[in-house]
Amino acid sequence: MDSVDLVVRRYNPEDGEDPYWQHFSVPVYSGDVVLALLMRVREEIDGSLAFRASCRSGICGSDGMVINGWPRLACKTQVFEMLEGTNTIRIEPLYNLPCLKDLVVDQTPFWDKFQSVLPWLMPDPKEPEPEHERRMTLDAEAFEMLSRASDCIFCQICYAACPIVGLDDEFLGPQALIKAYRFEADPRDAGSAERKPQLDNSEGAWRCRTIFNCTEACPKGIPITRGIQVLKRQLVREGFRQ
Amino acid sequence: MRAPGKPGGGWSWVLQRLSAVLLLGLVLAHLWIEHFMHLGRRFTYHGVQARLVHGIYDAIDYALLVVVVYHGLNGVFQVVTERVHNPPAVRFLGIGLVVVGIATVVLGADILSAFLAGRPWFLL
Repeated sequence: MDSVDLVVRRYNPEDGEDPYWQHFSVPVYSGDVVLALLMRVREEIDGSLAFRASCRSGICGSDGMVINGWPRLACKTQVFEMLEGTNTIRIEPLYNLPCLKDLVVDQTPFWDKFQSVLPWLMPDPKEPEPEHERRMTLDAEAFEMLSRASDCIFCQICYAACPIVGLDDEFLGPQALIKAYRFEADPRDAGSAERKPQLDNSEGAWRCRTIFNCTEACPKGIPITRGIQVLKRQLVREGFRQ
Repeated sequence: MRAPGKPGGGWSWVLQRLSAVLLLGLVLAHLWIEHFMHLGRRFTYHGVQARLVHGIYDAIDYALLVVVVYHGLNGVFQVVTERVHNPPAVRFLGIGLVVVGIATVVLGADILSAFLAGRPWFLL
């Protein structure tokens, strides 16, 4: 059994102290993920360490954190992949969100932005109720994109990886935009006009600089940047039509 | 509910891409005309002067001037407004860049027009 030097950014607002780095020497076993190390710290070394985790299977998206400088899900990150010739793993709370305690961030800005794009299906109220089964078709590529955009687990990793959110906290961010895309691309949806004020503005889709960090960081492999580009083209087309 | 930002931004996005595509063609045309079309001959002021009285060459250079100034200054505006969010400062920056852009185009057109028309159009 080897041990790893886990360097964790600690912060407790009740202490009144500035954030600091704390080293933990944690035993590591073959196949361990980073979340297992954090749980070992909390159970065996320091019970005051705060972090979010739930399903431990990469489904709930609770344990997003910055591991070795890049946002990842702790439950999907293998320890051996993070070591790369060293014995140290550095863990911080997600970037671009205020830290509440240790690795726990305040998710309010993220959810506010998500909610602002009206992320639900809005059928056309004028459309008559179909008498027979109604079929709406999408070409295979569009269906694939829509389907992948629906895979989002709200882990906030794309939000933390986006340098534009870091510079401009008013920017909607990649997750809200890909969710808007998911409904805009859905042929059953008729909510474009209602979503437009949030998307077609200086802090909406146009602020995205196609840096691709969101796509690279997304643990579900969602092509977020591509979805945002499709959204931009759709906004341009609608603009020309009007 | 979160209030939306300042409306618009689509035109700027479209024109930035359109100007990028135009730039590619215009820069290649400019380089070809100025550096490769008369390859082998001595590169002299009189040679450049002779080329700049040609209407098509001049049109390419005027277009290049306008497109490069728009593309560059719009890029600067976008980069700076990622860091500067205060509305009066953004407005001041926008107006300042428009003034710089117009001045640059006028100055450039003035220099080119001296070759084409025999005298500068705007300034001495």
